[in-house]
Amino acid sequence: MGASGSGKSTLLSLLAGLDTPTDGEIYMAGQPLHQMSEDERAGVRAKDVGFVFQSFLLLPSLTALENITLPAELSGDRQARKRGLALLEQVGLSARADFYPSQLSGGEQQRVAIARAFITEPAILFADEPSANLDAVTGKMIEDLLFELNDQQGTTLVLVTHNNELAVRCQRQYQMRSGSFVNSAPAAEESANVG
Amino acid sequence: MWASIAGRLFWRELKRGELWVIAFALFLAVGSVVSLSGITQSVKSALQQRSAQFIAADRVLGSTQAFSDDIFSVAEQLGVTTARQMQFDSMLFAGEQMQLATIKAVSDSYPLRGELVLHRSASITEGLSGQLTPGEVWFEARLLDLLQVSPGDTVELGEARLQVAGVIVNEPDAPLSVFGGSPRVIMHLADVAATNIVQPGSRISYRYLFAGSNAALDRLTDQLQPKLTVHQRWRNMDQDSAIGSALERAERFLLLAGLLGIVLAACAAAVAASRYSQRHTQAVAIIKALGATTAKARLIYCSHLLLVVLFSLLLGLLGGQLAIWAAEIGISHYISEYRTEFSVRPLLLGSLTCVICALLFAARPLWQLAKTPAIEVLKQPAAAIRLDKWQLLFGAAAIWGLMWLFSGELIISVGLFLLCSLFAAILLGFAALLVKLAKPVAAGQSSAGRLALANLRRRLWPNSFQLITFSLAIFLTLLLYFLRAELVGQWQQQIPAGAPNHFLVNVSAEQRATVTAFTESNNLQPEPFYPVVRGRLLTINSELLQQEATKEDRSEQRVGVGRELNLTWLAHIPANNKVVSGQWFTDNTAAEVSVEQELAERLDLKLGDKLDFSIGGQQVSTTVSSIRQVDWNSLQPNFYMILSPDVLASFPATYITAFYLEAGSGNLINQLARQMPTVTVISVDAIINQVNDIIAQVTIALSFILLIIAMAAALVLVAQVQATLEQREQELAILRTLGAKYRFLRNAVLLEFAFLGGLAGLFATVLAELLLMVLQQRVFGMPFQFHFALWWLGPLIGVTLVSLLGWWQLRRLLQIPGAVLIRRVIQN
Repeated sequence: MGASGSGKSTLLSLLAGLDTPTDGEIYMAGQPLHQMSEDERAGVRAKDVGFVFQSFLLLPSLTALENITLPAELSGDRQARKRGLALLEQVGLSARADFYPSQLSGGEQQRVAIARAFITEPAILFADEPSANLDAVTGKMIEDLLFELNDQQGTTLVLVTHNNELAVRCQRQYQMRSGSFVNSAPAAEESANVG
Repeated sequence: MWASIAGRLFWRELKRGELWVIAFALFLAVGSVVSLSGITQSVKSALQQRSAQFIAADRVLGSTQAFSDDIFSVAEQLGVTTARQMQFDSMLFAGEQMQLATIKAVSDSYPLRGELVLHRSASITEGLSGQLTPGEVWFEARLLDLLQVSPGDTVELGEARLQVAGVIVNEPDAPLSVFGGSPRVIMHLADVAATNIVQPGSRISYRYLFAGSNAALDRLTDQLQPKLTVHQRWRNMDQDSAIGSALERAERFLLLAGLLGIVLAACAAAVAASRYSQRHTQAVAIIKALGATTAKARLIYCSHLLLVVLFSLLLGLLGGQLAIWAAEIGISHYISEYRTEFSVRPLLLGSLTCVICALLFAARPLWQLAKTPAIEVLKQPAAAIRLDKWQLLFGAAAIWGLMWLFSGELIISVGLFLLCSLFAAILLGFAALLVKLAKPVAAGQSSAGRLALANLRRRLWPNSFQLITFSLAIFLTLLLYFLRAELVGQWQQQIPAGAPNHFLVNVSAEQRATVTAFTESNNLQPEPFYPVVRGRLLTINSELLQQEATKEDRSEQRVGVGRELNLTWLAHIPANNKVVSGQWFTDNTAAEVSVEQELAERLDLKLGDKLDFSIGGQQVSTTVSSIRQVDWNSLQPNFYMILSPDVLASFPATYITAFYLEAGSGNLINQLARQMPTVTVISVDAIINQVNDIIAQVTIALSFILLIIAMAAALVLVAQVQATLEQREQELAILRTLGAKYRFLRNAVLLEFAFLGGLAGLFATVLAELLLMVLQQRVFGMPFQFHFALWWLGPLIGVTLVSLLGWWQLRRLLQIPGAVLIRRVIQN
């Protein structure tokens, strides 16, 4: 958690291996991300990482289904289409399989992005302000969907937000200010949920 | 798996503009290279075939030494057909009469090209057609009269007695010289031995005639070249003819123009590729964030270019070949027995051009695209295209490479390239300066004008690049238009309507009155009578000339002209002659001569040199008083040596005159020929028609190139405007939000492009005028003329075309309601 410009997104990009640190070390699933080349990190991302971005970032020239299956296809998964259809069903967009992003509403686009993030069954899912570009109702729906799928797949969810309500749904919170952690605390519900 | 992603992305991307721009640009480049090089080859081959009919063979090797069987066996091994021909001057005797004639003895296979028409009668208009057989001779019609013989009579040639069979109606390789010379005789080669004329020292010219495919002939030339002696020389019909030089100019011009069109198309491809890659930066970042390696991303996006290249290449090769076939069908209407030869060279050249354009212009942006780091997903995509210095470098290398490939000359390609670079640098400087200067001016403009100028200033560098390409496009269009008009005009000027197409040669002094009566009664407008006296140049400054180069005699003697010259005397300089040094004759001139420039150089003549001629057995001394430049392309009687009137007036001369006769007046000519059998009538209609045909064909080819250039230029514009679409969309959204009306926005767009177009038009005009000056004087050998029309046409074309094309591209964007526009911008 943190205000705009506090360094949340930078931290997220470092953790996900999108960027490399100028100093320090990052390990993911025991692998030293900071020592890896761009392509090696891409390999790690393909295997272990999922993303949900604030601005959805769907490929405009691929349909909803094709956007979802893209990561699976990139890692050569022959079941990609089958799994994509199942995920589309789960996010409630079966009827929109052949729609292009421009034909979908913001909420629908983000649902496609969430389905895309889960198709490779990643160990860690990074979500960067997943509901910030949406109205309150749709945003809430998206958050629910994200947590629901997360529960189902048992993924580690790393979520960046400035929204307190969303933050409290996480098991652990870190506060950032000017690029540094200022506070870390288990959420109130943590003890209740664990166990 | 990547292939299916690449395939899906490709089909969807086809709906957007850039891939089509690249495809169309490459298609245009390939198609124009294939068709231009193919059509030029076809026209050239057509002309060679036409010329072949004038030399009775595809290639002719002339020699002053007896035939060598080696040469014939080399030719036969290569599948080249051959014929032999000997030519010499000799006296013919018929009873008491005798006459010097030019005898041509030929083998059975003569002629290899063209047609020999002989009539077994005394008339060229009637009689049975005959064939060359041993024991018979065929006469030029006037010789029957000169020797007072008829077909069936016997004549003596050397020690042989031969029967006169009839007259020569058409001799394919008869000399085109309008002066004729001795009357001509054709006989069979088998009879030459019996005449016993061929003796050591006899002046005999031997000719080897060859015909076959171009490839076989080229091999023959290559194999014979090292074996040739100083006595043997290839005779080329094209070299000095008006047609040959006109075509040579046309070919240079076509390739030059075509090349610049290709460069334009390649620029469009480069801009489109840059935009394509810029628009996909985020997509690549997303794909990489989702786990794709650089190699995989590259496979996906470079495969798009590969598909486009293959598609354009195939279509371009097909289109170009279709154009060649169409041109060949057209040519076959002009040339009887036109033989086409399929050549892979145009296709190879087209493919090579495509690869160069694709690799050096379009591939780099896509190659770099794959290097986009995944972190870019979190950044705002850049709206403006970045100018990559490597791409500029590759593009420049490609342009130079293409220039070299097409011109085939390193120096020309380097010169042209430096000129283009200089042009680009000057334009960049000017553009930057003008846009900066425009700031104070803008204060006084309407608000739409202010917005237009603000837009121009803000996109200074992309705009400068646009300015260069627009200028180049307009410049090319102007250059082509004006050069085309001038080339065609100049060619047509050589044969103005009503130019003489019939020459009367060997007119005696007494016959002049008959000829005048004939032309007057038929309302013809004859040229003046030019007197002709034949003479041999004997000495220069009392130094005896060697009459023919021989291997044995390597003395320091100057080599003479080697044949009798047609000498004339004139008081006034002919219209198409220009004195380049010395002075033309005055009234007080005595014993002077004016020499043609090239001959003067060959003989190393200077003003004041003393020339002695042998004319009719008498020696005549003259002094060189002027050197003349002669337009050999003109269909006028031209002379190497013109003597002052006092020298020749006392010698018996024959006269030459010419007039224009409309087609279908053949009867009049026959009438004249019957009236004066000793006068030779030469019709140059065939040559004039051929030149006119070529002019028509070249004009079509030029219009075709103009079309290619115009399309390439429009393509550059489309690519350029497309490249700014996203940025413009954002700006329009903001302006719309602020309440700008459609009219205001439209005016601003029109003004922006009008300014850019006008400026480009002005640059183009200046450059076109400069280059026209250089080209006219250096390449095409024409005098310089100032082009007033250029100065209003250039800027007008610029303003109109660029603003209309710009508006047409943006009209849909301008018409989108503000709310929709804003939503689109936010979504992106």
